[in-house]
This record gives sequence, structure tokens and C-alpha cells, in this order.
Amino acid sequence: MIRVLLVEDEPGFAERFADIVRSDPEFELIGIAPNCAAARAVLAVERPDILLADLGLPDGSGIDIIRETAARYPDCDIMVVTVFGDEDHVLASIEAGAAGYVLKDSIPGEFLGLLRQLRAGGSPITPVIARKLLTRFKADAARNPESKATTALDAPPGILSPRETEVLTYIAKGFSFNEIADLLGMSAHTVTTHVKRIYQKLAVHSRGEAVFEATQMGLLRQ
Amino acid sequence: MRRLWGIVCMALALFPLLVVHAATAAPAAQISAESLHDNSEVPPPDAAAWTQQTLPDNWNISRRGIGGTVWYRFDFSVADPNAVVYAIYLPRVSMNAAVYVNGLLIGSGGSFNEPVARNWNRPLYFLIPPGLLKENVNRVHIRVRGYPDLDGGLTAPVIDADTALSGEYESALFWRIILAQTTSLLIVAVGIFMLMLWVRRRQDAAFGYFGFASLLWAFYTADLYVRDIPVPTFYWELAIRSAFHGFALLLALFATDYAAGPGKSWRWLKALFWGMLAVVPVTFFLGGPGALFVLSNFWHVTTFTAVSGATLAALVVAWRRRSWEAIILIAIGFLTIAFALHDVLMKGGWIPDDRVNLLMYSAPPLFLGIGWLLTDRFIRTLAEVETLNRELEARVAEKSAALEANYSRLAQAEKLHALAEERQRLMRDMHDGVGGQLITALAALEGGRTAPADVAQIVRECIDDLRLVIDSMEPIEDDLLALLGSLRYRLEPRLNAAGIRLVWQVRELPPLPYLTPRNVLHILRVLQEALTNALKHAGATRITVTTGIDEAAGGALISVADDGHGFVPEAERGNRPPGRGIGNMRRRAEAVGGSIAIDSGPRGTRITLALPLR
Repeated sequence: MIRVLLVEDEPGFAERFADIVRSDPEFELIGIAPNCAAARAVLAVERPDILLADLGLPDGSGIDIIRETAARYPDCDIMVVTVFGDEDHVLASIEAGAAGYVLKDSIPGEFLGLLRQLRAGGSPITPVIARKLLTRFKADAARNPESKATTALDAPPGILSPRETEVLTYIAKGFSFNEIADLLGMSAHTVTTHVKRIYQKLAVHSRGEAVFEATQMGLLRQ
Repeated sequence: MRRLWGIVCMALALFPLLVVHAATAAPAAQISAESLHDNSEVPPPDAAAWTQQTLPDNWNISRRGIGGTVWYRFDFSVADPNAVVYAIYLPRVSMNAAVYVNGLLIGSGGSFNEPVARNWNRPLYFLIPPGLLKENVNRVHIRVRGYPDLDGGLTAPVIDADTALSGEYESALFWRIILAQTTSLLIVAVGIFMLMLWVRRRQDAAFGYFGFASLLWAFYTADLYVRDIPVPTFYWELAIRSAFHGFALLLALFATDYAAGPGKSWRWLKALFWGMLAVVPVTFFLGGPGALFVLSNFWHVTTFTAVSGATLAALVVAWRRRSWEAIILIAIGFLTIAFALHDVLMKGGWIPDDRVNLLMYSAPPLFLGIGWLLTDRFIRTLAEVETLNRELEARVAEKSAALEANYSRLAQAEKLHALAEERQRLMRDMHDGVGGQLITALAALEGGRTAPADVAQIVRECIDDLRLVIDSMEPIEDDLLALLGSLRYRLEPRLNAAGIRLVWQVRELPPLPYLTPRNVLHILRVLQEALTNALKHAGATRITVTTGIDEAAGGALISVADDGHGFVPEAERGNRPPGRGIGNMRRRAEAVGGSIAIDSGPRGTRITLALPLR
């Protein structure tokens, strides 16, 4: 049984989602939290396998809940639920520890498919997000020209390996994981692993950036 | 500036002291002697026709118009001839002298033949060899060579112990010779500096006048200390006197320029001065040695008048300007005129001859004053340039600030304009898409005859369109493929659910410069329409999305092909209007400058959107 917690203040979607999850015996909905406080209360006693969080909550941002959950339960898979998938919010959520997003009007099969993919170690990623990640890492590489990495092994955290860059580039062009696997001569699972590592690097990278900025502001002593 | 003033004032205050010292340095002593006009090269015999003559003997008075050699003799005795070394000191002689003691030559000022050594300003001093002097009476013969009208003569010699006399001689040597040499050098340096300024700035004639005047003055004063000359005395005198007049006339030109002020030239006056400058040496040359004295006096008066007139004019102008500069000029000018007047009167015999040429001493303050004037002008010009530069800089800063303000105003206006345009675009997009679809959904729900699934479909399309609007605003940097990918990412689950496989055959597209949000939205709507048509109506099992470049076919191509049953082409549909979907696709493609090609048949439909490359 995969234990799912939904953080969502809109009752209509919560109800629809509850119906979809309950229709599949593989999943168990352990709760629906309508705000941050309720989510924290549930998370204090329960340990979900999957956390689905809306971002705009009445008493705060879902990004905080995502960050806290990622820190508290590293094994928990986290996804953002959103109406439009507007990319800046999604990118911020990924930095906080989410593994992607799911659109609220997705058809039931799509929902369940995404949840299974997530639990199996996959990381959904859209072409536009891939493009943004590429731009972002490229800008950082330009800022630190001395850290030129040629393989994944000697790449410092926060900098993409050539293979990861390749994968991201294909995703940005709209190719599916299976197609990329064919094009690059690897298994679809490896593609997934690459994407997951890219997400981790982004999270590590954004933590590093936060430390850098804090040092700049004099908040931390080196 | 203040400090410079202090120096100038101090120099002017000290100057009279210097003149007084020089004037009083000439000894007033008189001794009784005898003289003989005789061209003999050795002392004439005692029996010759010697006549009584008190020293000093000024030939201008005692022998006017007479030149040649005059012998003087007198006796003297010393207390103790063998105990100390004695010397004979001749404070002034013109032109040259040789001294004999007890018939023996003990010293000479140089050549007695043409050109005669010039000692007219040089003190002569000779040691008397020990053992020559006798206990009682010693006889001195002095041979003096002079020229008619050239201040010939001899002042009273002084005979004393060398230790007692040498100081007086050294002092005279310093004041008359060494100081003159130093001043000459200094003035030459100043003159060369001014000439260099003038060469670089020909329009400043004052620097040129002053530079040449300085050189002429230096040459003129060389006569004070040059003993052996390379040319006969007449030509030397001619050159020296011409140099003096040249100097005076150049000063007159300088004063004229100053008085005329900028822009005016007083051409006739300057022509007169230039003419005099050329004529003076010629008259000297034509007149020959005999007329030198007369011509000299004539030109002295003439030049004096010219310089005085020009100086007075300059003084009047300077006085009107009421500057410190004016007061200095007035002081120096009057001093110079007074000195020159003194010399002219003395040369003409109108006042007693004190044997001091005062004009000589007006040169230092004159040079100091005029030099200061020119330097001041130079410095003021520099200061003006600096001020001008500062003002220019300030003006540039002001202008650039104004420009910046202007620019930011423009930028603000542009921003407002862009915002307004974006708002309009959003309104239009909402109206075209979501608005219409919501009305349709509302009508369907209110009518109650539409199946819930169909209403859901309408609402889903409504959401899809909203997403397109949001996607179109994504800053994708001309990368259309990422947006196509997004479209795929969203639609693929639905296609899969309907049993349709999506084949993705995209190639890199070149960056298209016209991908504004509005144009991107047009393109996305065309493609979404093509995909949903294939999904809803074609009964297809496979949809292939292809991108590529084909310049012949119109540029960048994006095609959506299905393997469904196709639809009725326009030609076979007769005069029925084309489907609303197809019409919209055409309109949107044309809005971005592209076109739509539809190829439909029983084995499927291919819709190709061609986009221009630029």
C-alpha cells in the first residue's frame, strides 16, 4: 500500500482526487489537509510515501510544507498539484525538494500513472522546466569557469555532467523518456536516474547558493 | 600670484640701491699729472712738450673730436717700497691703457692696434714687481688709446699696497663685468624662451618682440665686458648702437601693440618703427666714423621720442584698465624714460658728465616687468583654459543628466505602453478562447440537454486554452521546440487514453525572431487545433509530429499527420463554408506571416504549418 497525503484547500479537487485514489487499491489516502497547520499536524504523526501539495494555501505556501517534508522524510516522494503548471512556481518547488508536478485536471489514469511512476523512482519533468534548468546550470557554469567537469564523477555538486546535459536537452525538445533512451542507447530507467540526479543537484545547488548569499550578507561566518 | 608680486616689488625696491652703488663706485679722487698727445709706443722723453693735466681727464671735455694716443705721467712715493707688494688700479679708462713704472712696462689692457682692446667699462689692475720701486720718487707713465667722441679718457689711478687695493678692484670687477655677464646670459635665456613661445604661437607677436628685444639687449650689454673684438672698432660700435636702437624700437612696437589692444593694429605707427629699425644701421654705415657721434645723438633723441610716445600710449591704456599690471608698467616706464632722458642730456653736454650710463640699469626692471606681464598673460590663459574645461565638463554632466532623465521618462512611457499592449492582448486572448468556451459551457449546462461528458469536454478545452495563453508568455528565447514539447506533455496522456500513439520526429528549428507571446500563442493554437482534430474526428491510431526546414516550402515547417480516415477536401464540399477550426488555423498562420497546407485523404490527414525564417 502506498500512503498518500494531500494538502489542498479546494474541496472540489480534494473530493475528485480522493475518488481517484480510492478507486485503486494500491493506494491509501491517509489524509487531506486543507492548510499548512493541518498538514504539519498530520506530518507530525504520519509518514506518507507520497505527498501531494497545492502551493497557494490559506495560511502559507505549500513550498514550506514541501521543504519541511523533504527534510523530515527523505524517502517521501513529493509532487506539486497545480492548475496551470506555471513554471516558476514549479521550479521553486523542485528546489524545495519536489520531484515534479501534476495538473489538477489530469484524467484519472494519468494521475495514477504519475503516482506509480513517482513511487517507482521516476521524476516527471516537462520540456519547459528542462529548458529552464539548462539555462540555469549554464549560467552557473559561466560564473564558475574553473569547475569544468567532463564526466559525472568529477563533476562537483551543482554542475551537470555532459550526459545529464544531453538528457535535459532532449527533454527540452519534447522527447519522452523512452525516446531518449532509444536515442542515447540506454534504458528508460537510466534516463529516470539522470533526471533524479539533476533534481538533487538543483536542490544541493540552491542550498549552496543560499549559503553563498547568506555569506555575502554577513549572516554566516566562514 | 601674490608671491610673484612680492618678488617683483622687492626687486624694484632694491633696484635704486644698486644704481646708487654703481654711480658712487666711481672714485672722485683727483691727482695732478701731465699729458702728451703722442703716438709713440714707448714713454715719450722727459723733454717732450708735456702739459699740465688733472686727472680724471675726460676727452669729451678736454679733447673733443680728438682720438689717438695720449700719454700721462705723474710721480709718487711710497713709505716702504720693499716691505709690501704694491699695485696700481685704474678704475676707468677708455679704451685701453698700458702702465709703465720707472720706465718699465708692468701691464697692459691688450691690443693698441685696430681693433683696440675695449676696456672702457673694465677696471684695470696691475701689480708692481717687487724691487722696481725706489725709496724716494717713482715715475708712472700711462699710455691711453681712445677714439674721438667715444668717451675717451682716464680717471685718477690709485697706487697702494695690493692687500689694501685689491678689494676695491674685485668689487668693481664684480659690479661692472661679472654682473653684466650674468645678466646677459639670463636675458639670453629669457629671450630664447620667449622666442620658443612665439614660434609655437605666431599670433602672439608680443612674445616675438620681447624675445628679439632680449637678444638685442644681451648683445648690446656684451659691449660692457667684451675686450677683444673680431671687427674694427667702427663696425663694432655700429653693431652695438644698432642693437640698442633695435631693442628700443622693438619695445616701442611691443608697447604699441599693448596700447592698440586686441583687434586693432595701428599699422602706420608700427610701419614707422620698423622703418627706423632698418634705417638706423644704414645711416651709421653711410655716415662713417666721423658722423657716428652726431648720428648717434640724433637717433638717441628720435628713438627716445618714439619709445616715450609708445610707452605713454601704453601707460594711458594700462591706467584705464586700472590693474596692478598698469601700475608696475607705469613705474618701470617712467624710470626708463627718466634714465634715457638723463643719458641723452649727458651725451649732448646739457648736464655734467658723471660717466654713468643710467639707461643700462633700466633694463633689469624693464625685463622683470615685461617678463612678468607676459608670464602673467600666459598663466591667465592657462587658467582660463582650465576654467573653460571645468565649465565644459559641468555642462556635459548637466546634459548627460538631462539625457538620462529623458531616457528614463521614455523608458517609463515605453513600459506603460508595453503594459497597455499586454493587457489588450490578454483581453483579446481571453475573449477569443476562454470567454467563448465558458459561454458555450454555460449554455450547455443551462439547456440541460448536453451530456455531462460533453460539458466536461468543453470545460477541459477551456482549461487547455488558458494553459496555452500561459505557455505563450513563457520567455523561451526563440525556442519553439520546448513549447511544442509542453503541448505534447499535456496532450499525450489523453492521446494514449484514446489509443493513439504519438510519434515525435522533431529536428532543431532555427531561432525565429518574431516569437512574441502573441505570435507564439497563434502557433500553439494552430498546433493544438490540429492535434485535437486528429484526436476527436480522425479515428486515428497514430499521430506523427514532424519539424524541419525547407526554404522552398516556406521556411520552418511543423506538421501534424494522422493515419485516420481524413476529411472532405474543400473542392468536394462545394459551396459550403469550410469548418470553423480550419478557418481559424489559416487566419492564425497568416497572422504570424506563415501558411497552412492541408493534405487529406482516406489514408490520413497532414496539416503543415510553414513559418518564415525571419
